[in-house]
Amino acid sequence: MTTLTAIFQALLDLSLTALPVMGAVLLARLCLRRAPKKYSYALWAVVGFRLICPASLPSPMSLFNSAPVQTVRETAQIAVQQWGQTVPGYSHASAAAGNAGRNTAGAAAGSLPPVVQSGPSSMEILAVVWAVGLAAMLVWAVVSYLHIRRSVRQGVLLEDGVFQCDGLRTPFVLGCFRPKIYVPFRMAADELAHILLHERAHLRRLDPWWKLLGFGILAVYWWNPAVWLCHFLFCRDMEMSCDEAVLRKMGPEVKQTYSLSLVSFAAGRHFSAAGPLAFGENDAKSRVKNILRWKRAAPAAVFLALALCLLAAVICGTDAPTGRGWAQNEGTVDAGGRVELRFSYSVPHDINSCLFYEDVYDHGKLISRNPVGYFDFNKDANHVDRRGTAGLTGYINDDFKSGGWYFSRTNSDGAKIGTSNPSSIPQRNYLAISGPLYAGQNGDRTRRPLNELDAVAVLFLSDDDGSLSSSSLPFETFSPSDLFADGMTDVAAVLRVEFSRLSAEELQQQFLVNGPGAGTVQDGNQVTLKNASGGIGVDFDAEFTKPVRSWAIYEDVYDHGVLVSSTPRISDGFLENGTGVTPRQFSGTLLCNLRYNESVSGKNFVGTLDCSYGKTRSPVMAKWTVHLPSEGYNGAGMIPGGFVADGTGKHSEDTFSLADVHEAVLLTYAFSDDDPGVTVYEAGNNVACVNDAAVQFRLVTSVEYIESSLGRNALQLYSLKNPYVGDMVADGKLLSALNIADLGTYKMELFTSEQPYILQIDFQNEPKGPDALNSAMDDRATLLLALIGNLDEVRWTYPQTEDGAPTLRTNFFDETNALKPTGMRIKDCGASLADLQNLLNYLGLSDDIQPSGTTEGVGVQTIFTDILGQNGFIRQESGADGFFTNYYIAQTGGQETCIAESWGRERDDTAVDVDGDGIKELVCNVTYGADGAQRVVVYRLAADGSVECADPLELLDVPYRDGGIGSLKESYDAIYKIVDISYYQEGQENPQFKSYPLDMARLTFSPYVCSEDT
Amino acid sequence: MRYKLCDSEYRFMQVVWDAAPVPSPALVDLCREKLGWKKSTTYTVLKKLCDKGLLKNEGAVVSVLAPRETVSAEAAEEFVKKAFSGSLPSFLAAFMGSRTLSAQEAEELKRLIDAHREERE
Repeated sequence: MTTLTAIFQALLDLSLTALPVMGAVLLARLCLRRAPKKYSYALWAVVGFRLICPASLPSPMSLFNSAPVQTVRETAQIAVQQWGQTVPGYSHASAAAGNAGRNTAGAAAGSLPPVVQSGPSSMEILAVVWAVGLAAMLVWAVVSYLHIRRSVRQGVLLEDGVFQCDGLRTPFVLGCFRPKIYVPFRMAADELAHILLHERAHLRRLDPWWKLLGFGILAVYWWNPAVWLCHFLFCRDMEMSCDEAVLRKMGPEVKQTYSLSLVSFAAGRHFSAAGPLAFGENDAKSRVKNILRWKRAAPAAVFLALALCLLAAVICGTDAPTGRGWAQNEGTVDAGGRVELRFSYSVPHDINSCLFYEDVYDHGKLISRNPVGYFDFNKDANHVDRRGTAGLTGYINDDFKSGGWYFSRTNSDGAKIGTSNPSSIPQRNYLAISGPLYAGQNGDRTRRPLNELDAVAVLFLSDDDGSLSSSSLPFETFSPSDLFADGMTDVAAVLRVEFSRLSAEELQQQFLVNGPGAGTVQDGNQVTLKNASGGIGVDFDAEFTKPVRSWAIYEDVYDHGVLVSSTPRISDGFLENGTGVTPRQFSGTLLCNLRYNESVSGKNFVGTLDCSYGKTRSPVMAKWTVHLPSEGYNGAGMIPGGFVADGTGKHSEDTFSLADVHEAVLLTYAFSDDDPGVTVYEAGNNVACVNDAAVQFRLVTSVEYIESSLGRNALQLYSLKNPYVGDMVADGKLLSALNIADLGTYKMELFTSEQPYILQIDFQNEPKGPDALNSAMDDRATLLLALIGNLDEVRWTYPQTEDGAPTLRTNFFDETNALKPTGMRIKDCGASLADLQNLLNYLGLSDDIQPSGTTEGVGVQTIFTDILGQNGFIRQESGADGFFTNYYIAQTGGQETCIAESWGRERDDTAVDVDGDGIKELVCNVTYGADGAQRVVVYRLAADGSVECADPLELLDVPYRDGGIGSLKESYDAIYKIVDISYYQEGQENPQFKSYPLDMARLTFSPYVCSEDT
Repeated sequence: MRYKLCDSEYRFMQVVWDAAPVPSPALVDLCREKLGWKKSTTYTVLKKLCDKGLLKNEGAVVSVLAPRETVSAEAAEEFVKKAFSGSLPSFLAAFMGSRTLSAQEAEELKRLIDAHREERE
């Protein structure tokens, strides 16, 4: 566009910005009516500033933070710009038709020549008119100035800087550099004194310069009536404040004389018509009124007025903090047979580029990620305006083998520009395509902030049977699991967008080298740390905004400054898009405990760190142990966060903004193998270099989706519970969470017209290891039965070649095949989180099962509810020979108490209300270590609420040989609720058996003391 | 013969009367000092008054032809009225009374001013 038009366009924008400011200043002047006029006068500086400067300092108090103000202004700006692009006399319809025709042909060829309009746009015409007006104003000013200068040439020096002049009706000041006061001849002495005071007040305040500036603005905005109004008021305020200066100096006694001279100058000797600048109320009249009304201002009033002035200046003079920007769907149009999405947008000043890239998924796996278009908001290459409307089309070529994405926009000089980029979908013979689906295509006109834009468009393709997912998918996420949930879509191409403060070139580099998210704007991501309240570690509050899609906590182990391992310990996606269980704002607790040394000689600590992580105040904590490079250490210390790497030993801040760095250090544990003494606090440089070993935990964000995995996920699976097998989308999500796709490409089928309701998984390819597949499916089928409410049966099929002939194997699985804890029905196993976790433990799936190639994960501890009237979690400690001790830790009001324990190779405990008092007791089958003696321990609540325990061996009421512990065994059968005891009688070589119902009255209870506490 | 001059011209004459006869360069200096005039202004006014017959400039010496008693000053017509229909362009200068009042409005304001009573503090 031409420079002239650009300048005029900028002025239009500035006017729109200044308009609300003018309104605010007028409002403020109203409040300052009774205050000295100099404050009102000063406020005009803000308006002037707004009319001159395109940008200002951001502040949260800015007027432009208000959404209505911002919206109106931007809407007006876009409307003006759009109108300005119209060409008078050039029919819009014919233009569209012409373009559409060219679109189709051009798109196939891969590029489109820009369409050039044949006449000047409205904006260009206006710009020329404006320039003419500006020139006229300037000429008028120069001519007037020269005329007056000539007229007063003959003025005679009265005193320093003051000249008397013939033919003046009224005194005035002329000139900026060496301003001179001109007064008429034959003025009375006191009148002269007042006038000189007034004019000198002007000079002291450098008014001639402000007047010049004001005129400059007026000349540039000659077409804007609001600016004329403001200029008029500005001049009036200028005069009145000088009047007041006179009154302040001379006192209110001069009011009458002074106003009379005003009147006489204004009236002159003849009646004359008002000049060209008359606006409403006569100027002399208002000034006289103001003078007569004037009182010396009280200090309080002055202070208030000043405060109001400053407030108004800040509110009007500052901009909204940057980071605002939005895009809004304007509906879809037909563009040469293709569906084009039109959208309007506005990009704030600090964002300089955007990039579109395409993720192509084949049956759930990401197979390619390529940039599709870069746009720069500043530079000329790949330029796009910061504000306007644009169009996006996703298409597949006529041969149905390949496709692309087409971007169109209209620049402010009317030129329509299109760029087309090929899609990276694999070249196949596609049978069906659905979409593209666009954000907001369903008529959603919400204006979305830029940072919420993620997936913009999706193309679905089928390469085998022509069936595709229904297009009623929720648009928000388009995560891979959503796209392939029902197993019908084969290939999906998702177009995503990201924004950056870098230039388009730099963003391109970052993307190609470091992947998505690199260099993008990620404001709003923040992690705040504090010392953990429940132990040694940190509590943190995290807030993650889009485009972050997942996060992980990495554990880095250093040995004398060298990084030995970096392991992701915890990772999750977000609840909102179904990829995880974390909400975007959450709190976590990371605790690390040392073990005091018992085994390694000469050292104070064992070289391990027992760590646990969980959501703050959640009973569920993941646990793992870090092994340090050395067997033992003498000194150790923990600090929240880490060190600033500048050698001062300063700890890092408590709040991390992740906008640029994408990671926050949560906690650093440093170890010394020399003297004890806390090396951490003496550390100078990077902790890793000074101390002998260190463990550092970092929370890292990513724009990648998390690979979900079984296991960690009692929580995740539980959140995907689905009562109706007929809900295909929910079923699909569950299948995806169970990683069925790891077992092979599959399609899901449902048989729900009559009972039994069946979910069938058809694997498409012959499995290499059918037994492994079946055994993996057994577990998954069990979980499906537990988690889908009315599902009765699971079937899976796969092709197999037998004796050279292809067959289809079908496997049937229902409740009777499911492995589950004794006494439970399969549906009960999904009834609560605790039950589900028990099932997972039972199936041996409580640890993560990661896809191969990834590192070890962490197990989730079992939580329990309603045992001895309490809820909590079970902490399992491992001992020698595969033995475990299970501690039941009840959590009440932030306190943790151990209320029971059991031990053995497996946990075989039952919570059951034995005595009918409404509280479930705990009956544990335990095995003693060395000799394998099996016993039962019964826990119940004593009258005072404490826990007591007993051994039901007391129930044995027949004589038995005491042949040592091995001669007696007892166990509790949960199904029949009896205690089985085997014993040896005197002289017998074979064991005898007796069973007793668990009669609490016959047992002797003693207070339970947790073995940990002794 | 009676001459009527505008006020600035009268002031010039006063300077000349005090100094005459005076070489013109000296007169220029005097005018600069007393009246604040540029050289060109001085010569312009000088020429005008010579044409009117009040002064004589011969051989770069200025002498007076008209004695003081014959000359009086009167107020000049307003040039502001002529040039700008009675008001100065407001963008050009800082000045006192910018808008014109009708006679009626002036009367009204005068009454208002007279009626005003200042409250003694």
